[in-house]
Amino acid sequence: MFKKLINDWRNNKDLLYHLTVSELKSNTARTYLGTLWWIVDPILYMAIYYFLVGVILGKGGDDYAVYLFTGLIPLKWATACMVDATTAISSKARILQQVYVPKLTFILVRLGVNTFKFLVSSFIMVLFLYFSGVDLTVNALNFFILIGLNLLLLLPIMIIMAHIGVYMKDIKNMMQYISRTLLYLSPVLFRMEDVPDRLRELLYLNPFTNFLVSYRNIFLYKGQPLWDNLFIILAFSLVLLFIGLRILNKYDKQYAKVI
Amino acid sequence: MKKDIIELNNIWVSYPEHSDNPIKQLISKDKKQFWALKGLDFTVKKGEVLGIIGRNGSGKSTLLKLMSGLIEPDKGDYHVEGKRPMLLSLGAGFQPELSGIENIYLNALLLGNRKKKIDDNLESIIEFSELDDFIYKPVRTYSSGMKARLAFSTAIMLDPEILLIDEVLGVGDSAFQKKCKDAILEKIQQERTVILVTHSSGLVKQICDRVVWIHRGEQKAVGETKEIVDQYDEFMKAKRK
Repeated sequence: MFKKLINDWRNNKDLLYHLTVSELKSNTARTYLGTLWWIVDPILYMAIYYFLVGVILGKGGDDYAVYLFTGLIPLKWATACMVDATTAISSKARILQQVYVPKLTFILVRLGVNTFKFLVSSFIMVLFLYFSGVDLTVNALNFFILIGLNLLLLLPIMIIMAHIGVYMKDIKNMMQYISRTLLYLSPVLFRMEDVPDRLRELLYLNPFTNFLVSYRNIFLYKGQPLWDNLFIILAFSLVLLFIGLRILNKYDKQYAKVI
Repeated sequence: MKKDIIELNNIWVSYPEHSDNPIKQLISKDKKQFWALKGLDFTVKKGEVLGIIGRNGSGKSTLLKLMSGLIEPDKGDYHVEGKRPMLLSLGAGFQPELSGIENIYLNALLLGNRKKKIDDNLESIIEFSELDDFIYKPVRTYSSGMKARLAFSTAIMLDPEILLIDEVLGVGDSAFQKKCKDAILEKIQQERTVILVTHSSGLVKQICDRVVWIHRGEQKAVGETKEIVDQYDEFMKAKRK
């Protein structure tokens, strides 16, 4: 299996790059704002929730804008990846009926597209933090390690979603609700301190909680990521990745039959 | 004696039977199957032009998928010497919003080519396609004939070792059709292996050395073109009555 993976990588890295770039280009083609959407999108997204919680409900406190931003952006990345993954293989029917392409390619493309958008949003986020007077320290550089760990968690989830998406189209609808639920089950809009003790422990079972708390620690509170918890998540991710790759490998030549 | 380049030994391929109730299908133990190919057994020799004929639903598309490595046989062995044959069709991965040139790269990469090779062949592809300035425009502005031309040019100019052709010659206007045919004939002269899959015996008669006739997933006959095509035409005529 690993030999095939390395081989596939060598043969398909050009394809991967071109597919990702072309998907990004196609997404913005024929829109008036074009690539500006990558910048406008996170700002609008953020503005909606700020308006709801910060203005209408009058909750959240002084630094709510930066708090919200540092949670929304990483969670949006994760949920967009998971929803997109459900159609990563199933929407490529035409290609899969005609040429052999390792299925991981399509999943990596979706991951690449969303990660690119996330990086643009993050850049906006950092600018926003800087101009809001947040004191960014060297700890913020842990961001890159966090991204790596986050990617390693997202990839296997995406593989499994893509696989299910071939056999069960319902998963896309389900995933949209799951990602909405995740938004409320992760400390994006609310603060961990406001959660009752018993529930707080449970919230940490959600891996994204650990990531969000870590992102905020490094950006807002001059702290460290939750290394211990992230280490456990890493181990979990690797196991899941192994399982995901096994599934893809096993069904590699089945998808073209059922799509 | 020519060398065998592709070998099919007693190939069986099944599809899971479609059911209206997917949940029931998931649970039930006895999975119903539909056998699309039943015991195909033939070889393709290096440099020959092999025709595969059969009516609609005889299993031709499944056979194409098998030969280009998209699916695996449930039973039997499929063996290819060297690189897998690639279906010579047709703009599968076209992205309508991208330009012709970008789509050449995308399509050629999908067909398993290296970027360097595409760089080297880009000019001849554009020239063959006769798309001129349209090559810089998004593919969504193309007519269907233009799309087909772009796809065919990309595939043929990258010079695949084994050509797998699926009734592509119905594309474009008659002038371009002739050009396609000439390009394929040229490959045949260069001793390229060509596999032509079709339901009509016309082109088969003209270019194929040997023919395999499949009917309802079974291999009805293999042999010299004339003999098999005559049998097939006879059979089809009888059906029509």
